[in-house]
Amino acid sequence: MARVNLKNITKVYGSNTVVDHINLDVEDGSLVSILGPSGCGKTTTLRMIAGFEIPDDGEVLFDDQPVGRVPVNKRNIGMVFQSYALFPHMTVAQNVAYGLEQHGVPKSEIPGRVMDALERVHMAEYAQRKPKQLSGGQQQRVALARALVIRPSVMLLDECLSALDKKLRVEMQSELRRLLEESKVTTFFVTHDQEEAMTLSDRIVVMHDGIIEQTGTPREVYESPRNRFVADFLGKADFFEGKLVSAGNGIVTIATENSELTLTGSTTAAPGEDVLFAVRPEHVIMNPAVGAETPVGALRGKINHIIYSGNVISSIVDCGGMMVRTEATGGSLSREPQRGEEVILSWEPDYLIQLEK
Amino acid sequence: MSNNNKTGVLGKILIILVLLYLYAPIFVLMLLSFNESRYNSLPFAFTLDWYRDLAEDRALMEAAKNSMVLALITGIICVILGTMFILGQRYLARRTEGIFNSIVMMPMSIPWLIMGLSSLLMIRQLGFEKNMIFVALGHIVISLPYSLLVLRARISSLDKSLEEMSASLGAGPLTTFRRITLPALAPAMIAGGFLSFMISFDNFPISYFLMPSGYSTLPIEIQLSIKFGFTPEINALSTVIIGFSLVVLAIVGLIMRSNIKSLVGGDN
Ligand SMILES: Nc1ncnc2c1ncn2[C@@H]1O[C@H](COP(=O)(O)OP(=O)(O)OP(=O)(O)O)[C@@H](O)[C@H]1O
Ligand SMILES: [Mg+2]
Repeated sequence: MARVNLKNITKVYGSNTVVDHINLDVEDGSLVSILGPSGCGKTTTLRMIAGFEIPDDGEVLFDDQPVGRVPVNKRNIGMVFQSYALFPHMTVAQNVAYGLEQHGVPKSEIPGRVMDALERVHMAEYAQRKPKQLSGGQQQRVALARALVIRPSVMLLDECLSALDKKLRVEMQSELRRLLEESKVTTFFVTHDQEEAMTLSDRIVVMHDGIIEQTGTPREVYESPRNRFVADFLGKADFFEGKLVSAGNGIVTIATENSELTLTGSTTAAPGEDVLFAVRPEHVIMNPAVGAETPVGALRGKINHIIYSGNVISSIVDCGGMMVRTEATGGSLSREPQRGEEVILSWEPDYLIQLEK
Repeated sequence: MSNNNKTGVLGKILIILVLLYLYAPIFVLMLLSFNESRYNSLPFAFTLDWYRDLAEDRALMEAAKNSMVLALITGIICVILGTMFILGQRYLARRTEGIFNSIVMMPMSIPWLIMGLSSLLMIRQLGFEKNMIFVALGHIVISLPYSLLVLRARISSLDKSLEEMSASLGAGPLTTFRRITLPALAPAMIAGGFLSFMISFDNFPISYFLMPSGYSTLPIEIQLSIKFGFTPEINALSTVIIGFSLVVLAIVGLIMRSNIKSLVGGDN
């Protein structure tokens, strides 16, 4: 219910620039994930949007209005912390009612809205319990109801699902998605779980060391990562690095330290430039090697080891000292790969991703 | 098996010895307060005479009242100051916080005797007469660190995110303080206040040096009466004080228990 702009916001602790001139425009009602490794400044960014921290430079705008002078309690935000931070001395219902009381909702309306909010997170029957009498997942849903009930214009969620076990987390993800879509609230969702970011968000912001590496839809960020960090952080990738020798006819030739590689794909780089390419392991097709010929644009190697993880079988192939990872869903393999087997690796030209050097 | 049994018996004996060491004197004193003999001699013959004497002893009762009022004022002021101090401290830089801390905690490591004496000298130097306000100030200075110790332990475990959450839900700083911070601190405030109360109630040296003539507190009065001949009245008085402390302790314990149960909730 509000458009949010971050303009050059920066936070410095001592000599440490934790958030470094970040720019971000978030559409009204969309859900943005902020994704990045631990310590990259996600929480700090969120806290600046909330108003708990004041940016050392730049400004935060809600609906084009700078909110620098607006205190936290006047920003109309909904927050869920990783620790949930339910008020321990209040019941579930009192926790949810708290925000309504502060917003001057008439006393007669409060019980109805509290129950309504609790019903939406399936917690109505726990209304009279104290927070410590609830499981982690239940506490999390109460925290969510408490944040949503005040109809915030911006919702800030900081790793609010990370304390849950895998199964509950996946359940909560879809429930969260439904709740947020229903209420059409602009949402920032901080996580370091890439899968969670993919399934939940309209857009993903990948952060690293206080800067934004890339923003885009989950598909854009996954399929066209800009650089090595993004390609590596979201999913897995095989990297090929070297000097471009030639390119054309769907084949790219690069010179690595000790050999020349021909890769299927195309590039915008000119010969002589340093280049970096990536391929997603699930796009690599693995075939048994027949004969001594290696097709142009393919790689030849020996299976070094195999990782079985249920739905996916990964083979790590040794291509003359360079390890290349391939992945196949269990059912799609015509036969089990064998360790030590000689194989040919190939992919469709579009799957070769050129990264920024 | 037998080895285990042996250590078990040994352990029990040890515990009994320690308990005897700690509580036997108090128990004997309480017992003697009901004994008829003026010289605490046996055989034991039950009487309530000493309690009657106590109730009629003007000087002692006056001193008891003074001690009570003094300790109450000290306890309350220590809690208020202590709470303000730890809350304010959260907004200070590490360094400044450390300096303030040392200043306030210092009286804990200076003998009360010296505190009392030096306060007296200072008051004299400044040309003031001894009066009750100085006594109270002295008591507050030495009791404050104890309140602070208890309060600090509580606030360091108080999750700052609760207060932040309150703000994000639209509450101003005052509402947040009243509805979130205060309830969370309440048990520590009660415990800290009680501790300061006890330190003050018990204090002899500070009172001794600073007390204006014509006034006295229990510790001073007891010291005097022992000097001029001991009566079992003191035993009776001590028994009353112990009983009173136990009752207060039990009440504080009950309040804390119920409070902690509802307050601390998740953080174990
Ligand atoms: N109050 C503070 N004072 C000094 N440094 C801080 C403060 N808060 C955060 N930092 C530092 O800023 C950096 C970013 O912290 P932040 O909490 O934003 O990381 P994060 O991306 O949320 O990490 P995580 O995934 O572990 O929660 C860290 O290196 C942290 O040590
Ligand atoms: Mg964080």
